[in-house]
Amino acid sequence: MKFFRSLSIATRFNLLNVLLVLITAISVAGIVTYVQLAHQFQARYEQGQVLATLLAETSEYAVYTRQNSLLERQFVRLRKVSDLVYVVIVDDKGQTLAHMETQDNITLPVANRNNTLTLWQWLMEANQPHFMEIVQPIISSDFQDEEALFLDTHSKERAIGEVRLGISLLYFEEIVHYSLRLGLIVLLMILIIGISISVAMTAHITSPLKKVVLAAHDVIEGNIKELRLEGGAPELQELTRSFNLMINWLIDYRAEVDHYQRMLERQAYFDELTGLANRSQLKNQLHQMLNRSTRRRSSVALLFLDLDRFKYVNDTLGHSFGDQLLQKIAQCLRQNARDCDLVARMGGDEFIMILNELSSEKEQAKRYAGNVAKRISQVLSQPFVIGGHNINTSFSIGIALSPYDTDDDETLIRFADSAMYEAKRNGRNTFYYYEPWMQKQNVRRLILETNLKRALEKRQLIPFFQPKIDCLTHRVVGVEVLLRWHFGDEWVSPSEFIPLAEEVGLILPIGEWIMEAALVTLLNWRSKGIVDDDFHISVNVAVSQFWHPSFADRTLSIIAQYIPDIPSILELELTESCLLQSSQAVRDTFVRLKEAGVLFAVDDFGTGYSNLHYLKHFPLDTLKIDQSFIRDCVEDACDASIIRAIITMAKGLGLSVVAEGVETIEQVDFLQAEGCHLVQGYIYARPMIADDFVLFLQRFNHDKIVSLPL
Amino acid sequence: MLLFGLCSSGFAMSATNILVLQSHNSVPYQQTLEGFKANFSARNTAVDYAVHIVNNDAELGDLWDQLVAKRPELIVTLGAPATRATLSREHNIPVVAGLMLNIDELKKNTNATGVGLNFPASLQWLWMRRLLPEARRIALIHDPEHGTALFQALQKMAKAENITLDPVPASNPEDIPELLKSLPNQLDALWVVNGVAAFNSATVQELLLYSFRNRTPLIGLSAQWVKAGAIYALDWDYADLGQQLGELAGAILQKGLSPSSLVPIEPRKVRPVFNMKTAEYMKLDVANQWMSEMGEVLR
Repeated sequence: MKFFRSLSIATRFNLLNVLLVLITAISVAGIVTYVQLAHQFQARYEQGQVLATLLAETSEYAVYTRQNSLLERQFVRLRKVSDLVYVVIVDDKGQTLAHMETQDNITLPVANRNNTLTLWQWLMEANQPHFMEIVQPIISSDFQDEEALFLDTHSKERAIGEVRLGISLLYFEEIVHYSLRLGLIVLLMILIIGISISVAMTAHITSPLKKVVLAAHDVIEGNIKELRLEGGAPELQELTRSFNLMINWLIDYRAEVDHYQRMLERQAYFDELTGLANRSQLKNQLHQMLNRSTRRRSSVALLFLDLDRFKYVNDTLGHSFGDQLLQKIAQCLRQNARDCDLVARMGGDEFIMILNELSSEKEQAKRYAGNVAKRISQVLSQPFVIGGHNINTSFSIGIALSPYDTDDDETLIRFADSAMYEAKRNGRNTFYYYEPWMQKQNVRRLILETNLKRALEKRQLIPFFQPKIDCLTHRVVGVEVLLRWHFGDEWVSPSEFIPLAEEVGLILPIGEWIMEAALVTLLNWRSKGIVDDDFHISVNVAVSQFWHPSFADRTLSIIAQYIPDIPSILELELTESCLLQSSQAVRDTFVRLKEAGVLFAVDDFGTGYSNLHYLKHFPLDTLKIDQSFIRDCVEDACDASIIRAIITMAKGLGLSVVAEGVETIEQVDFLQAEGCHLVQGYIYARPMIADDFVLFLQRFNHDKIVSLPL
Repeated sequence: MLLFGLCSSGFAMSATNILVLQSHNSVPYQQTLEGFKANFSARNTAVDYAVHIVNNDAELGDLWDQLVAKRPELIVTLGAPATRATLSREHNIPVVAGLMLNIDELKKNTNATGVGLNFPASLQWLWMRRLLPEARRIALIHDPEHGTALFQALQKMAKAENITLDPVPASNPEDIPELLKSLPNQLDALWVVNGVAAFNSATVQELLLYSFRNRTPLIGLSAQWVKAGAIYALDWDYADLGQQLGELAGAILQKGLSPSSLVPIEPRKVRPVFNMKTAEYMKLDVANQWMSEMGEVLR
C-alpha cells in the first residue's frame, strides 16, 4: 500500500491499463480459444459420432445374424479413416464380435456409455487420453404382427450390440498447443500494443497535469504567473481555469500584501503626515551616520527644531490647518537639506535635521550648522499662505555636534533638545549651540517638573501679595497675588515654574488654588476690617488657563462659593496673549465673568502684540504698564513717550492705568505728572506673605510712608 | 308432429356408444377408421366414438374398467395387439376386429368377428402372373405355422402352370440369413406371402438388398414394401376395409345378429401397387395393359 501510494498518477494509470489489458486479453483470448477448441472438439466428436452411427446402422444385420466376417469386412474401408485408433463391435452381452486397431499396443478403455465427453471434461481428466471413445448402440427394430406390412410404422427397438470407436486426439492436442502458443503470442502483442498506447495516452493526458505541477512549483518559488494550456480534457481546462483564478487571486493578494508592507514600512520609518523620516528611521540613520563619521573622521551636526507657537496655530485655526503648516515646513526643510542630510519629524512640532559629513574642524562644522539654522529661520520668516491665511512662524533650534559634544546618537539628540529649549527660553526664533550647562538646566527642569506635581500637597506653593497704591489718595486700593514656590532651600521663580506648570498641565489646578487662596485671604481681611469694601485683589491668569473651555465655569463656581454677592473685588490679570484669540468662546468667557463682577486687567501691556483691536472688543478695566517701560522712563524719552501714549489711550478708552515695577520717586513723579496715579512696585513694597501684608497695610495706613520689607 | 319430434329426440338421445381400440395411429389405421365412420354416417346412425391407442395388453389394463364403465355397445379393434388385448378380457360386448392377418384368432371367440387382411391365393397368383409373366422359378417365403395352406394352394396353381415354387419357411428373423444363403442361384422372383413374424427392419432391408444385388424382384407384403424397393404388392383399400367393418357392426347393432353368426371375411377390394423404377432396374418387361388397374404406380 505504501508502495502504491508512492506511485505517480501516470504509473498508476499505466498499471491499471496493463491490468485491464491483461485481464481483457486473457479473458477474450481464453474464451475465444476455448470456444474454438470446443467447437473443434465437438466437431471431431460429432464426426466420430456420425461414423459410429453409420457403422452401427450398417452392422445391425451382421450383428443380428452374427455374421462377424461382414463386420470385419467393413473395417477394411475404415482403415483409411484418419485419426481412427480402434473400432470394436460387441453384442448386447458385451462379447466382442469384431475389432480393429490402427496402432499397436492399444489398451482399450472401459466403455464410456455416457457419450457426452466435452472438451472441459477431457481437459479436467488427470491423465488425458490421447483419444476419445465414442460408443454407439446398434439398434434393431422388431416388427409385431402386422407391423411388417407397414414398414414405416413405429416398431419396438432394442439394442443388440454397440460400436466403440476410438478417435485420436493427437492432432487435436497439437491444435491445442498451437492455439495456446498463438494465444500467448497474440496476448503478448496485445499487451505490448496496449502498454504502448497506454503509456503514450497517459503521457499525453498527464502532461498538462505535469505543467500544472511545475506551475505550482513556480508559484512556491515565488514566480507567480498564469498557466497556459493548449488542448487537454475539459476537466484539465477547468483545473487550469481554477488554477489561474487562484494565481490571479495570489497576484492581487501579493500586490495587496506588498502595498500594506510598503505602507507598514513607511509607517514604521516615515512620518505619515510629512513623508519625512520618523523617530525609528532617524535613530537608524543617525547611528549609521555617526559610525560613518567616525570612520571618515568627519563630523555631524544635529539640529533640533521646535516650531514656535505651533500650539497656538493649531488651537486657533484647527488641526487641519496645523497639518498643512507642518507639511509646508517639512517641504521647506527638505529643500534646505543636502542629499546626504536627513530631515526627520520627531512628532508634534519637533523636527530634526542631521547635517552629515561636515568638516572635521569643529568651528567650520559649527559655522556651517549655524548658517543652515539661519537660512531656515530666514525662509520661515516669509509667511506661509494656507487657506487664505498668512502664517508667520519660526523655529527654536538647538544644535549639537558629534563627535565634539558626544558620539552617542541618543545623547546627541538630547543635547540638541537642551539647546533648543534654551533657544525657546530665550525668546524663540533663534538657535543655540549645545553647552554642557544646558544639560544641567535640563536636569533641574526635570527635577522641578517632578516635584511641582507634589508642591500643592506639600504646601510648598505660597501666595505673595504686592499692593497697588493710589498716589493721589495715598491709599492701598488693591493687591496683586503672586505665587511663589518654596522648594527645598530655595524660592523658585514664577518665570521658571509657571511655564513648566503650563507644559505639564498643572496650571489649571494651581490657578484655581491660588484664586481660592486669594479670595479666602481677602474675605479674612474684609471680615477683620483690615481692608475696605472696595479693596480688590488681582490674580494672574496664564494663557492656557484662560483659554481652557472650563475656565469660566470653574471661576464662576469659585466666585459663587466665596464672593457670591460681592462684585468688583476680584480682578483677573491677563497677558496680551490671552486676548489674541477672538473666538466666541473667549468672548463668552469675558461676558459671563464680567456679569459676575469680575474685573479684567491687561498685564505687561505694551510687550506683546501691538494689535490694539482687542481693547475695543473685550470688557477690560485696567492696563498695567510693563515695568520694562517704567525702568528707564525718566531717562529714556522713548519709554516716556510710550507710557504717555498708553496713559492717554487708557484715559481715552475709560480704562484705569497701573504702572508696574515702580522703584524710584522720580518714576512716581513722572507717572503722576503724566496722569498715572496707580502704581505698584518695590518703591512701596515687594511681594510679601499675607501676614506681612497686613502689617504693611496697617503701617501704610498709619504713616503713609513706604517701608520696604527686607 | 309431436310424436315425430319425440321419436327424433329419443333417437338422438340413444346415440350408439362405440369404443375404438387401435394398435397404431398410422395412415392405414386412420383410413380404416374413417371408412368405418363413413359407413355409419351413410346410415344416419348417431354414434359416439371413443378412440384409444392400445398397443399391448398392459396399456389396455389401466383403461379397461373406465372404458367399460361407459357401457360401449360395440368394440372395434384395429390391429392384432389391440384385438388380442380386448379378446383376452371377459366381457359380453361384441367385438369387430380389423387389420388382422390371422383371422383364425377371431374364430376362437364367439363374441368377435371381423375382416382379415389375407387375399385369396387365387387373387395373389393372378396378379403375380399378370405382373411377372416370365417368372418360372420363385422362392416363396411363408410362415410355416400359419401359411402352409396358402403355400399349398399356390403350389397347386404353380404346378398347373409348370412354375416352380421353392418353399422358404421363415418363422423368425434369425432364420433369414441362412434362408437367403440357401436360395437357389436361378430365381426369377422372391415372393413374400406372409410370415410377418420373421421380419424386422434388418431382415426386410437384407431381403431388399438381396433383391437388388441379385436383380431378383421381390414381391412384397404391402405398398410400404414397394416404396422400399419391392417390385409390387397387393395393398388394401383401407377405407373399404372400414366399410366392411361398418357393415359387420351394423349387422350386430341394428340387426341384432350375434358376432358368432358373422363369419370373419376377407377384403373385397385389392389395390396393386407397382414400382416402375425397380422394374427398370431389374430390366423386366412390364405388361402395360395392367397398369390401368394399378392402385398406384411408383415412377
